[in-house]
Amino acid sequence: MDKILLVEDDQALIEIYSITFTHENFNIEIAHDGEECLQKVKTIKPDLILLDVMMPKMNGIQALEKLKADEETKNIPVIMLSNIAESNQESRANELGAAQYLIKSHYLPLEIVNIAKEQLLKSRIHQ
Amino acid sequence: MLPYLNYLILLIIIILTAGLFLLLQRRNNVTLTDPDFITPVILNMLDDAIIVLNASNSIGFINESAINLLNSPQKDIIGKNISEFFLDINSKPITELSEIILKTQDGKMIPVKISPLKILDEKNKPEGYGLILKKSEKKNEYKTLLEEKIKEFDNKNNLIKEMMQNLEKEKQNMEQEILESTRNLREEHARLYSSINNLNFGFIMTDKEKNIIMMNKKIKNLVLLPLSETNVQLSDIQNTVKGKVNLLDCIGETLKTGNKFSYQDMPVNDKFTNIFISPIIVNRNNNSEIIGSVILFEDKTEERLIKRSKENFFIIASHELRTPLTGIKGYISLIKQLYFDNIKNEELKRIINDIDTSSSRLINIVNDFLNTSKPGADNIKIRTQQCDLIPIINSCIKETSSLCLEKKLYLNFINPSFPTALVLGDKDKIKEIIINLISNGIKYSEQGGITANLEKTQDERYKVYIRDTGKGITEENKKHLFSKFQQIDPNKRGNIISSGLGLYISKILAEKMNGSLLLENTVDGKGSTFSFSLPVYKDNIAIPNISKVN
Repeated sequence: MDKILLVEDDQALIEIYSITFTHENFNIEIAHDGEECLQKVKTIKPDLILLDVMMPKMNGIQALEKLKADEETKNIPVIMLSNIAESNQESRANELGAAQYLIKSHYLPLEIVNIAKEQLLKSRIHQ
Repeated sequence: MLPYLNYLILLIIIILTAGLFLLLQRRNNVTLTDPDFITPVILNMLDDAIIVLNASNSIGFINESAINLLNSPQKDIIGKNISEFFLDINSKPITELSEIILKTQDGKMIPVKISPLKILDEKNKPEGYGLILKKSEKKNEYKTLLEEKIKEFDNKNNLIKEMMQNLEKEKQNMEQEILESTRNLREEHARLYSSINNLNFGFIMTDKEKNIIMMNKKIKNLVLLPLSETNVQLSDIQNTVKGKVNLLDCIGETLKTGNKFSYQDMPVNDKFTNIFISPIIVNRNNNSEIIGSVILFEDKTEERLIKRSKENFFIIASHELRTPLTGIKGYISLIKQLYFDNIKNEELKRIINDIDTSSSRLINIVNDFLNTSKPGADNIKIRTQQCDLIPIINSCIKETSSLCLEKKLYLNFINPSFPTALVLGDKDKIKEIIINLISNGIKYSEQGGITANLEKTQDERYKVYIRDTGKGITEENKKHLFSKFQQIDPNKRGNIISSGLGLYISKILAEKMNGSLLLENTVDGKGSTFSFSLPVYKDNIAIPNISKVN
């Protein structure tokens, strides 16, 4: 069973994504901000990270930078989930090595699950 | 001794008396009949001056009156040429003279009337001239003449004086004018200088040798120079420009070729500026000559700051608005996906569907507003990739079909003869455009329905047609069709699906993907057809992120 680390501060979205991913047979773990993400990633060792951008303490871009700088975590595919449609953020995320940058409001939860599945498949083939 | 003297005196008297007697004797008897004797005597008795010239104009005889006139001893006159005594004597033949001017020894000029006579010898050959001269009463005439001349001279003199005065006046006028125009020029200069000085642009003017000849307050403020600083070189300015502009090189080229330069968002110290460089050209004798250059610095710092904070506002707004909407839509999709079958109450199901549609609309509206109001709306990010239009159209039909139910409209996609329609574009944006076109068709059709079909055009494009059976678009509305704020019929407000920004945004999106969005035709009361086309995907175009997964 693939393990997903969802980094998200909005309680409603946490619940929606948790239910959907669990229903689709994923093991989903939650972190509420960038700092918590960096702590949990080491112990959980997820197959994929869903990373929100705008969060307290440490935002998604900063967390991504740290994840990609760490040998241990740099190969974990990261899908950025944001509601900020700002091209600078997106290009910065792509520069740092995010697999995708999605606007949450454009996708249904199930569509996100499907994108995650495709991404996992892709990264497995690449490995 | 004395008696001898008396004798001697007596003797002398006797001799003299006898002599006189003899002389008178001779006169009375001999000389009065002799013309050689009598002619000069008579001539000497005349009041008129008489001069006799020989053929070579030298004076042969002169009477007493003439001697008096010429005022010289006779011996100094006889044999001299007449022209030594008279002016103008040779100006014309002597016989034609009527007046000549006498030069006296003391330099006076006296006009004299002359009556010349030709003297002929026995053989009628000219031997000389006799001149009868009369001191002219013309002395007075001459005086009058002279006075007239003097008067004339005086007049002329006065005229000259007057002219001189006029000249002086004119000179004064001119001086006044020059003073005035100088003052005007100074005022003009002061006005210009003050305008330039208070310009909100940094202003530098250089001469042909790149020396700064003028700069204003703003530039000193931009490059952080004290206002009193006067000796500023172009290199001092260059040192403060942190962008990749070499002012010296640019100005060198501008002075040489007349080229203009313009740079955007150049950092100058802690400010951001747009820099413009332009030559100063003067037309001289139909030749244009570059006499210097102007550099303008437009301070964009404030504008950037405002733009930045506006951008920040939109980032926050989009995040804060979208997050709860995503939540609502997410929950509904969970219900529909996981628990819909458990719901037995049909009305509840309908309500849930309505919530779903409304939240979708709301998200679309919010997206439309954010996209178009956001600064740099033209910076909409497009991620082009290879996509197949056929499944995209099918999915759009599926998503909008529920909107047709209420009005009982049909919604068809005529499947094309070709199996795939590969284009280069952004899948999400293509979907947005097609959904927008279908939604519009539904919005304006009260009966009938919407038909979509797909064609490959001759110029290698795939073209999607969306045809509705609505009321058509009036000429007036055609003008506003693709503009940002198209008029929305207030009667239709209750039914609007999108914010009315749809076509405006769709057109921008289509063009960003090298596509086009057009109103193909519209017939009043019969309906309209819109088309959206994209270039056919070509295999040789490298596409990132499309790995050979399948």
